Amino acid sequence: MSRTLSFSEATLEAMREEMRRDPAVFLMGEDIAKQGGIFGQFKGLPEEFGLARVRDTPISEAALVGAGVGAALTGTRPVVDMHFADFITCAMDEVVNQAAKLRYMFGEQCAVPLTLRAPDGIVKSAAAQHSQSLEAWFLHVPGLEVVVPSGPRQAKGLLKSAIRSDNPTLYFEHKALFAEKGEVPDDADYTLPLGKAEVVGDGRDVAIVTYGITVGRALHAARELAGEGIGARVVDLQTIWPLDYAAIADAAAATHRVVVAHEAVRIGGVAGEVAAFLAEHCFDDLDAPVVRLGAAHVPVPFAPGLQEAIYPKAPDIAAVCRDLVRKVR
Amino acid sequence: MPAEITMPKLGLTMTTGTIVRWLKAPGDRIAVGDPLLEVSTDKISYEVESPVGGTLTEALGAEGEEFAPGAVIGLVSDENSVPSYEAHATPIAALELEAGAESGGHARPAPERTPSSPAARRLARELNVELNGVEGSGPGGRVTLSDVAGAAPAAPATTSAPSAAEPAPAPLPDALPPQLPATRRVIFRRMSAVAALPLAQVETTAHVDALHALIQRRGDVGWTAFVVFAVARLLLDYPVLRTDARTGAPHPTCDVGVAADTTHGLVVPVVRDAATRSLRGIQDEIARLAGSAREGRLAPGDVGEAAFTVSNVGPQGIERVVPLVDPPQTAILGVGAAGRRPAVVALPGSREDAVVPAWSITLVLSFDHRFIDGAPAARFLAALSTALTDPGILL
Repeated sequence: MSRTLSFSEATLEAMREEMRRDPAVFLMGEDIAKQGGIFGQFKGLPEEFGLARVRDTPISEAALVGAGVGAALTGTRPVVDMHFADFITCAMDEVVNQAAKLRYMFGEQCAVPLTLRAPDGIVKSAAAQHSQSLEAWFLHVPGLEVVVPSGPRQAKGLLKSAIRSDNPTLYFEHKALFAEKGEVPDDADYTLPLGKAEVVGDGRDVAIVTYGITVGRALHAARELAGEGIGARVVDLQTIWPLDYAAIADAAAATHRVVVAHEAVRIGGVAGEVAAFLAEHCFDDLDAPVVRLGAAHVPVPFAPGLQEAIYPKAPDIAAVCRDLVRKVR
Repeated sequence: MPAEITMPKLGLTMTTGTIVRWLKAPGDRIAVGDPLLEVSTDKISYEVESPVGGTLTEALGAEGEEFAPGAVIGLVSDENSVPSYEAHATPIAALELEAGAESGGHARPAPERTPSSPAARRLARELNVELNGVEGSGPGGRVTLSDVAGAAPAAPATTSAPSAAEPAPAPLPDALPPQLPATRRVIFRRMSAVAALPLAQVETTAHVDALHALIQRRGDVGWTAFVVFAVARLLLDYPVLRTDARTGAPHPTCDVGVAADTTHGLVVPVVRDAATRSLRGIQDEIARLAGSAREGRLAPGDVGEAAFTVSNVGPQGIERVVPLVDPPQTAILGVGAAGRRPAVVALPGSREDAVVPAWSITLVLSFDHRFIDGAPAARFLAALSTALTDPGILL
């Protein structure tokens, strides 16, 4: 059984269920208790769990994440809201040098079960400092798990797994997805495993490896291509670390043509890791070059027309797939 | 160092080029890119440009003379000049343009290496397709999977059996069925080739009570491992069963293939040099190979180039299998399931016979009669049957 929920409702439900399930789970962030979060994703939590477990904090990401790491070390399961993923830069030492390292440096005598919720992505002219998708930075740092849900069902299942994980987990939720609606299973114990991709469709002509908001765009492209007789399958990575390399290899073996797409900047992005893996381990399966699609290497523009021009959308993905299948590239 | 002027290779099919005329004479000052001479092939004529600036010191080839591509036909001293990368690169681009124009713009001469996708190259290896002969439909003439599949030749005729008295068997359709998954194509080709082979079989039932007891007692080796162990040692004594159809001589080592069923279909990983391995060593190697085969991770050295193959349908509970030889091997053994079956035995201390339950196993040896006669095949199978009946004999 399932119901239709919005993405933000799905994450709210995940929070509520995990806070009921485990008294060690608590929440910190800017404007989350009084305001309920800028996307309504924390509404009602203070009423049920009290202000000790839903804490408004001063505007200092370094203090916020530092407190989260410390709390996690003492045995709680903090969920820290970054407000905007872009602000994570102010807490880089806490994320990269503390959260990611401590479990290793102390020989597993401690764990850091911290979840950082980081709303990211391009929406409504939020401009260069409030629109970035920075997940690739954290793929590069051993010790972190990096989760990027693509819809309400994934948002709930992955957030619950992130909170239950004993490792520090960055949970990147796209701002343009919060209002998106979709079916979410009823089962209170429903979770999605970290490190496992989900494959949609069984097209044998081309595979679109993607994650987050770009999954919807890829599915749209796949439907368009199906009408032209081109079979595309979409691989929703769901977590970019651990990365489901087996699913990527299977997709290459099945289709021999792979497009990797994300909204993050193309250069130096996750698609580069996927493409390199394919070149190293799936070389003989490839019948065409791997194509990466991502945002242009520019700060996200404020001007709406320019903003819309810089990142890959369904028609761009479909066009590349078409080119690969028709051997234009 | 003077720079060597060589006969260019203009396209893959060019074997010789003819010097039409020299445009410069020894002693002439040469600038980078200056046309030095005109050459022609059966397809095009072409001006050879100097890769360096300097002085033409020697024109080695006379007009009308033919040279192989790469042959030195002139020398340009590089005094006062340094050969530049750009200078070398220019003629290549020029060559492509020139050739395109001269041949009516029909096609650029193929570059030295036919561009092809990795997947197309793998399929070409599997199907034995020469990539250079395949026309590429991809960008820049890249040969793609579908090009190779389309260019796959009909199965090679593997036999020219002399004075075959009986009519040749009807040939199987050997064009690749278009819907056939890639994983079946290799098997399709190989089995199409087998259809033409004069295969014969000998068959026997071995009584294996002792071996059954031994396998039960040890618990660490299976039937397949023991059969491979016995076969490998007997192959030392019966080299004719190792005959390689390509050479007509025995395969040098007792490499024994073991047919395995996987989700991708049949694969035959090979226990290398099985005659030198212990029983336990063979068991471990079979286990390793089976694991790799299931995961699709067999290394190139794990398959191919076997002397002989064992196909055991025992695990499926099947009593008897008549396997097909996998060329260039010339023999294969089919092993059925061990089971308790009625056996006629002499009652001890009596002249009476009795029918009692006994462990037995059916062995079918299939072989290419062009290389192996029935009698040696029968002797080999009898020796194998004896070894399985009385395993101590191998020690």
